[in-house]
Amino acid sequence: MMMKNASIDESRSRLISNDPRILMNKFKICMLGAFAVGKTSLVQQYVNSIFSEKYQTTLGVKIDKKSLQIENQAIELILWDLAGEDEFMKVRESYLRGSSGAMLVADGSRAETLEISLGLKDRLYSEVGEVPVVLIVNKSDLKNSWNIDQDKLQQLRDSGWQVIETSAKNSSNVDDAYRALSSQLISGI
Amino acid sequence: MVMQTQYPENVVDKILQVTLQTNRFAYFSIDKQGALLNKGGELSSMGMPDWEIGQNILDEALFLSGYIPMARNYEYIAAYQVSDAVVVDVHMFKDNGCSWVILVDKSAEKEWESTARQKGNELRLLRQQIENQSSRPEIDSEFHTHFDFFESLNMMALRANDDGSFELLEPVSDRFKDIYPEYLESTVSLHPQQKFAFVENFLIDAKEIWSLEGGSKRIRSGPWIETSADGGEVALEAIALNWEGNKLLFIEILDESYQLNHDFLQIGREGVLLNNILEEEVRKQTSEIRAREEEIALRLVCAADSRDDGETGSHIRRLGLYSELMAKNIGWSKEDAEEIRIAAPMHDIGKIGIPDHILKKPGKLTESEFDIMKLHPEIGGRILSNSSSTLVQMAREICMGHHEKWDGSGYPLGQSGEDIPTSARIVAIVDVFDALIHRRVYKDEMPVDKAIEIMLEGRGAHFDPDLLDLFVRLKEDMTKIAFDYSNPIGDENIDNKKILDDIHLIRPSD
Repeated sequence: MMMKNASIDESRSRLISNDPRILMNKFKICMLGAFAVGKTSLVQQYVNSIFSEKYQTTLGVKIDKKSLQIENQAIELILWDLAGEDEFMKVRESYLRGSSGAMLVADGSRAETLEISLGLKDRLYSEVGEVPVVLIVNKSDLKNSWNIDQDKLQQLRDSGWQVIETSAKNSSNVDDAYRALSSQLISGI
Repeated sequence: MVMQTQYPENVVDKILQVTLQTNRFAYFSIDKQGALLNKGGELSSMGMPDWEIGQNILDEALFLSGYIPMARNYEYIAAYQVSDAVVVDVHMFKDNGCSWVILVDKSAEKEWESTARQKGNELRLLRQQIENQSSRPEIDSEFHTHFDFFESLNMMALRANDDGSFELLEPVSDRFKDIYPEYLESTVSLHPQQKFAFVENFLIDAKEIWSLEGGSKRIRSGPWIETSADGGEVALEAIALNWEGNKLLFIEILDESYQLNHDFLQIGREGVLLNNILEEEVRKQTSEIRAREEEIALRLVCAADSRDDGETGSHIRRLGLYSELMAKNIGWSKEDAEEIRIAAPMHDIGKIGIPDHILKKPGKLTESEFDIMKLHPEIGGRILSNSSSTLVQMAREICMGHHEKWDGSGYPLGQSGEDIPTSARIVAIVDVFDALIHRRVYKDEMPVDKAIEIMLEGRGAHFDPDLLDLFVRLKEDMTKIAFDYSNPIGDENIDNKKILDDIHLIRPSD
């Protein structure tokens, strides 16, 4: 793509800034995963502490912000909630541009969503390089119906991935997941 | 129900006066046969022929067809198109045995409606032209004379300045004011990229388009969602356009089209989710049925084999597990591998037809006794024949083929090579292996390595060479199965349910 590297640098330099005039470090975080894994619910739970039982598909992009204090630093996460990927829709690479990190989201009760989120990780890396990621396995409130490949999750953990089981419904581990990613981001500054 | 209002006489007079002054009318009356009795007003300008009094006009006044003679006191035809240019409303009423017809000219309204429709079509075409870049009007003249329709399109039209700010080209609708009130503060120095993080990202692509020379280029951002002042969600899309060097940015509020796409996607995805749930349910049910089948098969086979010796109960369980492991390692599907796990134990079911004195004979069989023993594959084949179940079909081919040999010297059919079903070639290997490494009433157990050494002597003669090589590569896993499942099923200390559960659990490459 034309001017790709220049564009990435330009975009990321704006988002990851230590400029004293900018009071907070801002990080663009993409929510990546198959459809209906709970990306929007995770953002809504984290930012607004709300959860809706009804599945509402996301068409396009919704951007929310969340400020937090981590390791004595004030940071702002700019959360890009992208439409889930499936046979109807693909994630646009241009949406990934300038990302400082990503939440890869899988649904523990739909085994195939793990592979989709890992595939999106590869596309993220090819667009912005190896930025910090956290793998969220969502819907832990439905754990008795999980069929996700636990061996694969263990392999990922063994190879250094942060894999966090969450429930956007009851908020279990949601804050922890974002804090885990934030810590990675801070350590990279 | 229409409420009738009583107006004072002077008001009625005024209404009549104004109405007559601002509208064109014509009238005529006819008898029951259609002969013209009276006429007046602007009949000819409303496209009516110059009728003579007494003339029957029904053949020419086609709009009266079916109304004359009048069955009701009053009839009304709205917007009757006399010609391309003339439209009239027709009022008819009965009076003293004749019918009066009043024509009210509606051509002006028709023209207005036509103009409005034309304007709407033009706007649509113009918008289409922008999107298709099929025409390139001069930006200042064309945009400012024709683009006041952005308000009606819910589209914000901006031109990029060199300093990174934007100039608003036309006023925007109230809906835009809800989500982007800053526009009120300035029309020449807007920064939508500061308002919308999404636009900030999109401008990187936009700048690429704007930097290109020659021709006109366009790029769409795809939809994104903002929260409006009332807390609702608004879908937007940005379009960057390089129009002969003009750096244009349009931000459009997506309404119906977005909603339609959203609803389509929602329905499609809900359908996929529902399908997933149903598939998962079917998978669970199938798994339960398969577990029941397996338990029944194992118990029946164990019952049949109990005539032979107690050891074969665990032998058949192991056979299933060895075979499943082999199947998975040659790329069989999980379902097919499960099938061979259940089918393999039935390989010797034909022994049910072999007399006890031969089956249980502790010493070596005579030639005639061995001939009878060699009938067990065919007996098993007959027992399992004519089934529509793929599981039973596989069990039958294993039954018939597990004593066939790669070089064609086996029995009962003397098949060779790949004519022998793969399932039977697998069972032929694991059956011999298990027999060699376990004790029988007529022999001691043999070390695994020694057993494999002996089997390798039959590579390409007795056994499929490729499958035997695979088996050797899997020696460690095979040995584990051999010694983890070595208890006879008749042992009262053995929990058969647990053994069956263990069989499900082991599945090494699941």
